[in-house]
Amino acid sequence: MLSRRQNQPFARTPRGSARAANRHSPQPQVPRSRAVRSKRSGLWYAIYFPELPDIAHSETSATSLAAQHCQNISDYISLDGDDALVLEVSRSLRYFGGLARIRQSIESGIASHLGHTQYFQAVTPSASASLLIARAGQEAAIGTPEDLRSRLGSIPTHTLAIDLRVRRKLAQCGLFNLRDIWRLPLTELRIRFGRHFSDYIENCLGLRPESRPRWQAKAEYHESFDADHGLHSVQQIISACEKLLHQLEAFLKKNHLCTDRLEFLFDYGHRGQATDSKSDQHDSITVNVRKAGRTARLFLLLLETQLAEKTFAGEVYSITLQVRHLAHFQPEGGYQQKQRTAADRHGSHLLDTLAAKLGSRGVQRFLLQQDYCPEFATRMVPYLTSVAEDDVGSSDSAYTTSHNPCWLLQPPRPLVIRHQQLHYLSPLTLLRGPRRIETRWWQDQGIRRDYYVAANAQGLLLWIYQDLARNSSTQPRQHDWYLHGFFG
Amino acid sequence: MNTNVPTGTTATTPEHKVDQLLQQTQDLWRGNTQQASARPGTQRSGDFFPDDLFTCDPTPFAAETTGDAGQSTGHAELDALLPWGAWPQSGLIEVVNKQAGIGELQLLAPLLRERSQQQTSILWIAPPYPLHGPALAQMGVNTRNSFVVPAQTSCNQALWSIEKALQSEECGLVLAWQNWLSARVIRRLQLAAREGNTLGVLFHQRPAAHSPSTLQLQLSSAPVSEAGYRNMDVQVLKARGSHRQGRVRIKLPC
Repeated sequence: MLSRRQNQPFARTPRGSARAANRHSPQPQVPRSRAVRSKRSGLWYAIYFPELPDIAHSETSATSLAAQHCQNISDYISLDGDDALVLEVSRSLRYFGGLARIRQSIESGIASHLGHTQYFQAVTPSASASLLIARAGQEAAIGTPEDLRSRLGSIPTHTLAIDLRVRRKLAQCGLFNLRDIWRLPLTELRIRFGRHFSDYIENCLGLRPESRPRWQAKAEYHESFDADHGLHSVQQIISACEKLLHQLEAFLKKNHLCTDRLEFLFDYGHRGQATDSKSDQHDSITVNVRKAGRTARLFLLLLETQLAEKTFAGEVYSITLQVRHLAHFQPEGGYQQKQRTAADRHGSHLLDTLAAKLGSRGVQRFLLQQDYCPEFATRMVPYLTSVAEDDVGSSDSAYTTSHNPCWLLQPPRPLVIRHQQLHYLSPLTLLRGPRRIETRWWQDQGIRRDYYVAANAQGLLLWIYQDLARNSSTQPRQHDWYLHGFFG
Repeated sequence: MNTNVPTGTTATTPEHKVDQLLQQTQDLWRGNTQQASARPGTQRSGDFFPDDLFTCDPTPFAAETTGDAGQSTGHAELDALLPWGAWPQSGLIEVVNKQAGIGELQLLAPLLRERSQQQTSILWIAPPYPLHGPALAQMGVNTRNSFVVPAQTSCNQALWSIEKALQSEECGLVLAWQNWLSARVIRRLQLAAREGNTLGVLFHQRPAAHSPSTLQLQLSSAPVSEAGYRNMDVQVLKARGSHRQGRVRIKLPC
C-alpha cells in the first residue's frame, strides 16, 4: 500500500530537485490515466476580481456574494484575500456535465449578483496555481499537473503571493519570471529564499498537498407567520410571535446555535394607515441580549417589554422573524465556562429587560480609560456594547481615601467670585490643594488646571479648579474658576 | 396575645402555634421591648409590662432571630442605633437629604464595596450627576459590576426600573434618586425588595409620612470640623424592628 505522500499525484520532477527525486525513486511506475490523476489531485477553479464593486446597503462583500453562489457548485470554497476565491470542482464535473457548464453557471451567477464586474478565471489541479494565473490577469484551464510548469513559466515573479522582501530578493537575483525559478533546485531555493517560498512554489506545481481554510456562509434564520385575519391587539401579536420564537428555539437547539439579536418585521399589508410609501407598510422591533441565548421564554419576555409601548399603524397581516447573528452554543459549566470573561457572566435577564424597555442607551456601563484629564477618564457606554475586559476597569488595587470626587459635573460650572472670595451657595473655604493636572498640550486647547478641595457652609465638599490655560492665553477673566465635582 | 409556653414542654397548644407563626413572619414589626417578652422561655406568665420596658436592649431581637444583619456601616455609633447592628440585608432604605453630595455615598462606601465584590450587580438609577469611575474604583467599588440608568430617564421608567431591579435576584444593590415618592410607591418598592431579597437605597429630598420602608434616615451636613474630617448628622427616623429614634454625628474623611 502506498503511503499518503507516495499516493500524491506528481508532475514532472523539477530539474535538480533532489528531494523530489528521492521521493519519487521508490515509487513503482504505475501507469495511470490522466483522469484518475486529476481526480485525485482535485481541480481548483479560481476567480479574481481586480476591481471589486461597491455593494451598497449590504453587509456582505462582493467575494462573499460570489462564494454564496458557488455553494451550488462545490462544498469546498476558500477565499483568498478580499478579492479572490477558489473552489474545488473535480467532484462536480460529472453532475454538471463538464467544466464548460460549471463555467457557465459561475458566470451567470456573478452576472446576476455583481452585474458587469471584471474578473479572471483559471482552472488547474493546484489552488495556488489557479489563483496565481487569475491574479496575473490570465485565463487558463489546465487538466494535469504536468502542464503546470510550462503554463506558469511566463508569469512574472512580482505577481507571486509572497512576502515583499522575498519578491525584491528575487528581482535582485535576476529571477523575473517563474521560468527562471524552475532552473534552480528547490533545496537551493529553500536555503536562499526561505521555507515558505519553496513550499509555495511546490504548491503551485502541485507537488505537495495544500489545505486551504474552508469558507462557510453565515447562517441565517428566516421564518414568517401569515395571519388569516389582521392582528389588531398586542396580545394576538404576542401569541403569533410566541409560535415563531418556539420554532426558532427548536431550530437553534437542533443546530447547536444561539443568538443575541432578533428582528421582527410586522407587515401591515395594504391596509395600514401609514401607506404613503412602501417602507411605511411595515414596522420592525429588534430584540437584543448581551449574552447569546436560545430560550424562547427570554426572547418573549424582552419582546413583550418592547411591545408594551409600541403603537402599530394598523392591523398586522404578516410577522417575519429574522436572525442574522448566529453563533455556536456553548453550554454552561465546564471548561468553556471558565474561559468566558466576566462581562459574559454579567449578562443578565434583568439588564436585558431594562435595555429592552429603556433603549440601547438606557442602561450603561463604565469604561475606564487611563487619562489624566478627569472628564476623559470615564466613558459611559451602552450596556450591550462589547468592550475588552481590561477596559472596563477594576478595583483590584487596594483602595485608599478617594481624592477624586464621585460626582463629576459635565461641563464644569463657572464659579462666582464675590468680594475676592469664591462662592457656591455660600463662600468657599479651600481645604486642600493645589493639585496640578496638565495634559493634552499637543492639542489646540491644552489642559492646565490647579485643582482644590473646597467646602462651603452647607457642608458640601467641592472639587474646584482654576483654569491656567485660559489665564495664560488670554487676559485674566472672571470665569477662571470652575466647579468640577462633588465628593458625594 | 398570650405567649405563655412552659419551657421544655412539647405541648402544641393553639397559642403556641400562633406564636410559632408569628416568629416565622419576618416582616412583622416588633418593638424592642415587646420582643424581649416574645422570646420563648424568657417571659413570665401574664407579663404584659416587663421590667425593662423603658431600657434599651443592647442585642436587638430582630437581628438575633432573623439573621438579617448585613454589612456594618463602618461607624459604631450608627451600628448601635440600628436594630440590626448594621445595614439591613434586604429591604428598602430611604435616605433623605436636601442637598446631594453631602457625603451620602461616603456613608454607604462599605456597603458598596461589599456588594460590588459579589456576583450580583449594582444598579445606579438616575443619579443626580455623572458618576466618576476612577473615584468609585478608588473607593473600592468594582465598576465591572456597576450599571447605570442615566438621569435623563423619565420618572415612570425610572420607577419601573427600580421595581424590576429590586424584584430580581441578579441585582445585589439598587441605588436610586427621586425627588419625592409617596408612601404608596415606597410600599410597592418595599414589597419588590422583599420579593427579590434585594437591598435598595432610595435617595430623595422630602421624607414620606408613614413610610413603609425598612429604614428611613435623614442626613444633614455639619461644618467641616478638624483637619481632614467633615461631620454629618444621621438621624434615624424609622427602623423596622425598633421604635427607637436617634441622631448620631459621624465623621467622614475629606
